[in-house]
Amino acid sequence: MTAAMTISLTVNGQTHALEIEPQETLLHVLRARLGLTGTKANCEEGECGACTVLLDGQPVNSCLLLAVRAEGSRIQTIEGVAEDGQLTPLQEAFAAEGAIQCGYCTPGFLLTTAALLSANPHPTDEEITHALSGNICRCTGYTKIVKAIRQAAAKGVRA
Amino acid sequence: MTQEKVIGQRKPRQDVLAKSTGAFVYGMDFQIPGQLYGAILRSPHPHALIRSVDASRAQALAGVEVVLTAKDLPAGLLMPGVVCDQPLLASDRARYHGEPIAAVAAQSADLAQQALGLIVVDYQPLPAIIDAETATADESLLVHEAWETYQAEEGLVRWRNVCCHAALNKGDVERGFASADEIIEGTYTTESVHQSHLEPRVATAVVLPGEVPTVYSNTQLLYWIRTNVAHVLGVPEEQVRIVPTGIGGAFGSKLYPQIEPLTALLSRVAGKAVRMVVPLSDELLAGVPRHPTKTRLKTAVMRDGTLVAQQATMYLDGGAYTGSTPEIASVAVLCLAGPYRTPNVHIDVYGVLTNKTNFGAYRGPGGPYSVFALETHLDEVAARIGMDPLDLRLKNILGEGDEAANGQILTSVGLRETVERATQAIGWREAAATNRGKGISLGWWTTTLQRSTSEALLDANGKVVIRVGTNEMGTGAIMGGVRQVAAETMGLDVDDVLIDVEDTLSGLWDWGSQGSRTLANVGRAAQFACQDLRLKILSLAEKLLETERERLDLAGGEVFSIDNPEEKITLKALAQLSPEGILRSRAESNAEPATYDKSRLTSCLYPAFHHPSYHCHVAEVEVDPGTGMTRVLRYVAAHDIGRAINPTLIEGQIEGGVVQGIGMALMEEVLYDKQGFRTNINWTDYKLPTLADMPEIESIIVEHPTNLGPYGSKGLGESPALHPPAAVANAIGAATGKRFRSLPITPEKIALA
Amino acid sequence: MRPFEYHEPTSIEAASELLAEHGSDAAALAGGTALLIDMRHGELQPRHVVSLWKIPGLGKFHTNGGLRIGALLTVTELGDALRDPATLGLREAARMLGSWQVQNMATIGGNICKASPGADLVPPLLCLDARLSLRSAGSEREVPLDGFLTGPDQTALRPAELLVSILIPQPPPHTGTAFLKIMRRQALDCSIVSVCARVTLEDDGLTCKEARIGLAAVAPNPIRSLRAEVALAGKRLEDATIREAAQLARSEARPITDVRASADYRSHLVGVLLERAIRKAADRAREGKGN
Repeated sequence: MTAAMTISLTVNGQTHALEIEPQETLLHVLRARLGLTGTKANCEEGECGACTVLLDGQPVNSCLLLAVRAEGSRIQTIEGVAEDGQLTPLQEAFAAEGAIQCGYCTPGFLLTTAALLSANPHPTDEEITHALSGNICRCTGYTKIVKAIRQAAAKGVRA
Repeated sequence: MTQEKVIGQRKPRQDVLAKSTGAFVYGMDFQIPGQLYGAILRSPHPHALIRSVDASRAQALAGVEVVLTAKDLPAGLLMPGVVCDQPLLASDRARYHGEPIAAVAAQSADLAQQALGLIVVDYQPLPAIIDAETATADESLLVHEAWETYQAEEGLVRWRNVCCHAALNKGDVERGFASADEIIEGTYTTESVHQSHLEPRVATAVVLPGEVPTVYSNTQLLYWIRTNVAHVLGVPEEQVRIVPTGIGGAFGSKLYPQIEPLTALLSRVAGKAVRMVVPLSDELLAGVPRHPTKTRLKTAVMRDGTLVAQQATMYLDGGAYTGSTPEIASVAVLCLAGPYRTPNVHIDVYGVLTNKTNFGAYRGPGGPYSVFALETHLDEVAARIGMDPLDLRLKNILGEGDEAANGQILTSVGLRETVERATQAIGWREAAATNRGKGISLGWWTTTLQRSTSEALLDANGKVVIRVGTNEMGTGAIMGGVRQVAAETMGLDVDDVLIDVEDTLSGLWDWGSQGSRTLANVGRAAQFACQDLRLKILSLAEKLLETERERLDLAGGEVFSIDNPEEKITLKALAQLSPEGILRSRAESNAEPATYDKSRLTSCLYPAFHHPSYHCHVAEVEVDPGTGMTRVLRYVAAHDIGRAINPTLIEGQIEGGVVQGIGMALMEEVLYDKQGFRTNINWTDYKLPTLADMPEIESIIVEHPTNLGPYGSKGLGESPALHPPAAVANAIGAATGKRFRSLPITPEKIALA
Repeated sequence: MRPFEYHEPTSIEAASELLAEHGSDAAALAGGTALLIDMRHGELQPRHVVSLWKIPGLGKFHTNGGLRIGALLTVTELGDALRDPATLGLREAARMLGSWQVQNMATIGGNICKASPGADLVPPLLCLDARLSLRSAGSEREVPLDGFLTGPDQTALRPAELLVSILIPQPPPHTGTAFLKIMRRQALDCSIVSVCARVTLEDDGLTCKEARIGLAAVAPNPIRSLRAEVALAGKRLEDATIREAAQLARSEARPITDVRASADYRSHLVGVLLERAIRKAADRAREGKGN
């Protein structure tokens, strides 16, 4: 057996001291130790994007990142997107445009899109495609997701 | 007719707020403190005798609380079904790669995995039966040696490896072939594709002494799960509680009791809660994906394009157990007949058992492979007689009052309108550029009926709560569609209606979120319940306002006098003055099935399409002749859905079905090697379409109302997935001048053709 | 995933010593996008994971004539840093590797050392004559990338040795590269075949002075096609010459049939893609600017 280790993670602006096993992924720590179940789990090999979180503003697959590696970085999950219970314009666009069906991919899409718009407020369709091809949606056919992103971008929404 | 205020509007769904903030609780997010972790040991062989199973080392591992093998189950236990041929755990024989052999419950997921590794199974591998067509031969090895002893539904024609032979016979095909100008033949094959719902299958069971056995499940069909759990626990169904949890996609996969019965048994033995998640590798190994098929088609046609006769033979590979193959076989019969007038039709669909996972219901089961075969074949027919594929179809399609191949008479038929509008939108008659081509597919599909039950109640705040017995699986049928139906009926805005999905102790029996039935049937039950609740409200208001009920109306959350609108009472005030407490009404929908000509069908468990929907898809593709890469440039889908309750949700169903169909057309396939081993059990090797693979989809809504669903709506969920394989294949055919008769049409197949 | 002990050395020497101490029980952690999958599947079960992320300087990108690229530069950072026509092929490979999420985690060093048959970055790096700076506690050496990969998941790294940086000599003037990759779908996929071509033109803008051809997923590791390179060098880039080079490359490829594609299709693709890549690289060499 290996020793547990103590790490400190800053998630959605809040710092947590945690005792973990080294093999725990960020996904596991978020869901099982911090109860932040908005970050979704499935393929565990970077193929679905459901577990996407932002690490220092950049989207990563939290299933492929050891939690200990996220120490010292800013982690943002879906729970940290809305402010004071107020949906961001991007969340509103997803809800209004029908970009959400089963919703299991939605947190990942919202976070990847937030990172995209934050770096590039008016992306071309090609840039949207490059940014979001790592997020699989099985319900919507993507059409309404792209429409929601375009709509949010047109409004000058950053995230 | 009153002007509707909510129906037809793009109202937000009840669940999108929670789904956009991460607060929504899916099955995967549900846990019970102190739960154990379940896991399943699966056969590493496609076909093997099981000589012995030794679980003693697993049992001895600290932290392992239960190990179940076939020996621990009631002797001869077989699961309920059309044919009762499936054990819960394999006992003497493993019939497919991935079949459950043993189950464990342990104090952690890691321990459960370790325990699986300690179970020693002595297998004697046997040759696997892989090809469905050859498995029908009398000399073939048997998947089930005791097939004759199984209990089976009456009227089912079955023998040896054929678990169902569904057939349709209309007119005289031989005479038709003898009289025709041209006869065209072709063979078409499709591979299995997997639902690949983004959320895994997960169940948590709490079966403790003296308590109601309870299973939390992300199923689409609570009451079928209940039947299966009650069966293995040996208790009456009414005493089992199946609790719905949030569903992250299902597409038919979550109809099946893949884990709930086992998890319930583990919990009962452990005396603790047990949670079981199916990891993606197991899901892709041993889920319930779409049937692989092989279809031979032979069509007789006159030079003017009149279809004279059509013969079809399909081998529908059912995998190791009968499951839902018989119903699906009969749906395939109706899809192979297609929405055409062909006077002489003979169709045979053989559901065949092989040593593969049990294939089943995936969005439009029976549909996409049949439509692919028929619609690409029709393009070949058109080519032979030098006719535009569109014109061939327009000449032969069914219209209002026509009789379909099974003898059912069709009404509210919007087929021609879907064809005309879709082809117009894509500019069908315009010539395509080099390496580009357009393809068409059209068809009909059913709105599954059966019982739905709903309860409407007026709560103390004057809001309406709609209680239903089946869960929202993502489409919006429940949290969007049913809510809008209830709001319209009650004269409220959607914000004043709350949908509540109930567990099975509620008695709100429902045939589930499946079969394109949800909004039409659950919505209809809710509408009936609301109509009755409305009467109760008006009766009470009659007393309170001292105005005759006939002179009262309900709208905007108020009951008011038609003659003097100042005389009114809010629903909230009324609810609080109700002498009998909360007003509630329960209603059920159990609509009459379509009638058909019984003499034409044999062994068809799903013999007619109820309140059919009609659709036409057209695709334009560009093919890179060097690499074989196909890009879908444009995609137009027109659907006659009776009445649009919420256009945004309808477009969402169309677009989502199209992406799955394009996946089936171009990249997805559940692969088996020649020995029957599964070879692509992760999403690295099983390919799902990404955003980069998708065109923007144009949805066209056509409304020919029917008298089933609320406000005239027909089913929708499945039909969008029927056509992309055929439409894309036909477009590739037009772009390349070559015919592709097997799916998926990978770049490799195109480049090396 | 089997439990392990996690180490975060702060110098190359300390990392090297850990790797030396634990030998085959240790794994070096870069981006982790491949390592974690291998560990989860049980294909690797290290008892010690040595993170390289606390070692200063491994994520830097230097331009000084040529390029010196730290092994921990992420694929996103790599793609963003490249603008020159001579390195556009490498940028294209970076932009097509996995998804944006994976590109944000995976590193150039990891993509090389994973030594997979389809490693996307390797064909362009081979075309750019990349050299590798390898260090251990007691030694330092520089080797060409060509020859460093010795089989699937195998490299010429000595025990306790680390890939520290990748060196790309300054490409000659009039050089262009182009990378093409075919997958079953349009994104987020392993290559069925990928190719990279580098063309350096004479001042006449027509004659190929020197060429490099890199191929992936057609052999146990990405390879160069020396015959194709020779066939192009000193020739005017006419259709027949390009076609001949592509066919020679095809003859050097040794593809296999697997779950993704057949050997025949892979072989076919080498020919088709390489013709296109050579033309595209030559166009870039002529234009002498990025896109």
